[in-house]
Amino acid sequence: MAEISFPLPDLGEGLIEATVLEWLVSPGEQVERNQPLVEVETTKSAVELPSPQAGKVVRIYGGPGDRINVGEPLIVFEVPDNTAGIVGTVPKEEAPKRRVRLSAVLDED
Amino acid sequence: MMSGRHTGEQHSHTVEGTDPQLYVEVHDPDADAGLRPILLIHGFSSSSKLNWEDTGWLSALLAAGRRVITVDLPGHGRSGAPEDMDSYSPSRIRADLLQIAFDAGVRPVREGDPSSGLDLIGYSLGSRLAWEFGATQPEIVHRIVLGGPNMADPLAEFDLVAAQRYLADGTPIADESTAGLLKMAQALPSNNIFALLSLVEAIKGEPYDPAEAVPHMPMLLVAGENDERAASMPRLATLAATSGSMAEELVLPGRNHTSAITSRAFKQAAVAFLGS
Repeated sequence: MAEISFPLPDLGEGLIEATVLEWLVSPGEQVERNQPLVEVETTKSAVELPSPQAGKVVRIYGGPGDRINVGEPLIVFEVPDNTAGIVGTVPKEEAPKRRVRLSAVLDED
Repeated sequence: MMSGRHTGEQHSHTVEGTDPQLYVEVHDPDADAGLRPILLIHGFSSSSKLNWEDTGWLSALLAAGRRVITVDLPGHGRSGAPEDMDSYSPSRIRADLLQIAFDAGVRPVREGDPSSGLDLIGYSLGSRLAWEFGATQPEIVHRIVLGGPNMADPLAEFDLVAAQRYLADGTPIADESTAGLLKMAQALPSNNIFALLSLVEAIKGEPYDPAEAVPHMPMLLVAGENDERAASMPRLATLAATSGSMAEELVLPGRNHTSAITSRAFKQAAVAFLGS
């Protein structure tokens, strides 16, 4: 098994930090890609961050009220070795895109 | 995650002769629970994206099998910013919301048909609009969820002259509430500040009075513990009870007017309340 760490993503609008409101997952839990992970509050709004990754949660950083800077670790997942990739990049789960023409296209002009 | 199919469009169905230029999206769930659609009405200086998408509401409602209609208020999000003041008046917005509901296929509530009618979820200014919409459209509104609701509209006390002076030459604004609201409106570069001021002006012309028209359908009132608006919930509930309606109240521990929106307890309560 391999571990993959995800930092607090760039939340846009020039924000550099966020405050944890509530974790929606806990260590040991198996999560799906896009499953809500955590609610965070910035100076402008509150957002729910979806999981960028499917896997088992190993560690989470920060409890309610704690500030995390953009780029600092937020969560660590355990994933099977063959999905981690050599340099830690994660293969996308979507099926490869292929253009398949299902019907003949008539002259467009 | 944006599960489900959705279609978005600039709403171009004119209600009163002028095009309101409202941006509407209709989201269909992957597995439809067969229940009536839910119309989401966002707050002042927010948008459907900020209030409902980024906060996880849209995906939570779609996961519950609900069909969801979102609309950006005039001057907000991807909606246009009309020049005429009338486009921003609460009564005009309610008329546009009604047209949007009908265009999305909403039918009047029929006893025994769970797919008939419309449910509403509003937040802050959106709760004011939902309260009035429910009160004036009892034929189509089934249930209402009101988040961060008010007894009076803070925008009605907004000092427009001071705000315009501040924007023109930086003269400090004496009124604290006005300064705070303007700061909030300016926090998002995407906001059209002059359209938002038109909305404020229109609201001052039609200030909120919840006692004037009270919804008769069941409602759920929700606010953060640290949101001063939480104090208005028992008074709104009393109004509802006086009119023969039923109002449930939910206070979210540790949350304020901003952080209440993402609360999972809020979403779960809304899904349960609108699913029964």
